[in-house]
Amino acid sequence: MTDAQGDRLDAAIKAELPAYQAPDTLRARVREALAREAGRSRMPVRSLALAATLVIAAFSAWTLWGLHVKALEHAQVAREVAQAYERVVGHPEIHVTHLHQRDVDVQLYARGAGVGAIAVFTWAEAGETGAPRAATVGNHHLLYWKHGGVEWWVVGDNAGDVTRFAAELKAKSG
Amino acid sequence: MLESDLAAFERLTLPHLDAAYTLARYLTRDPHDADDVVQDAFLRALKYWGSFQGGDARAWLLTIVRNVCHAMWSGKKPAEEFDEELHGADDAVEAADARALRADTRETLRQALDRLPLEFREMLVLREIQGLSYEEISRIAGVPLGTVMSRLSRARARLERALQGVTP
Repeated sequence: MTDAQGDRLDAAIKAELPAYQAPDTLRARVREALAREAGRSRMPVRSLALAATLVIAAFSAWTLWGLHVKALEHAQVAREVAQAYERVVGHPEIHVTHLHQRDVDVQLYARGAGVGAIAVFTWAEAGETGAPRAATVGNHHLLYWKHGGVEWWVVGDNAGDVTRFAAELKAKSG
Repeated sequence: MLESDLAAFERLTLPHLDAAYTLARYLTRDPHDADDVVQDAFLRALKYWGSFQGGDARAWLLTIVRNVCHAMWSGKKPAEEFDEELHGADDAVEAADARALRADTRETLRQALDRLPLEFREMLVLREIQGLSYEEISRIAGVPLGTVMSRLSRARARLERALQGVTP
């Protein structure tokens, strides 16, 4: 490459290949994720008094493997969450997998030894929805909503338990 | 983590969010993937904040962004050994680059850049767009200084060849 060609390339790169500015949405998303990560112990769901009726069986940082939550339809998310629920219930010890796309918190509540277990999945997500929406995957009943920069999914096998639990959770998390 | 720790972390790393995003955009070639990479990188950086020895926070953060991109890339395609000689040689791809040229410098540059192997692309972005030194790039990419210079030279040669078809 001659000097002239090199100069021309330098000028073209400088003019045509810009340094990007991070979108405001990403800036907010990162700060939210950092605050959430740093303040896991201050997560509102953890401070709930739900243990009065349901015993916390497990708490874990959980990542839905390779799941692009944002890019999926809710039916797909429901299937992923239901599968994760089965894994959590089947293995209540701590689960931490490689963080790839989206960091997801899981808390598992149970009335006894894995019977009537309810799992709460949360991850950072903008937006607000009103009343929880329902989905069913196999025998699993799911209720989900967005509030306070968090998307919430409550999963269990007993529709009545899930509904009562979600109502209490939603009321206490503001 | 104490709130003061988070504040210190943010004070040193958030000013480099644009640099992180720029690297992620060029390496992933997808704005949504870039968003995910940047968030993932910041969370990893926070996790390993205790291991940060001080010094250049931007280079440290870009190292993490680069590693996340490589992890994402390796998950999307079968693992393959990077062959320096293969990618360094003049080959049919470059001829195709030249044939595919359009009379638009930006588009041509972007296409040529996008077609570069990740290992070459990151050199160009770090050097030409981020303005890092060879030494900094060497540390970030974890390759010897000579490899940085060699890859950068070959990457520039490819872009220059692509530009040859653009009407000045």
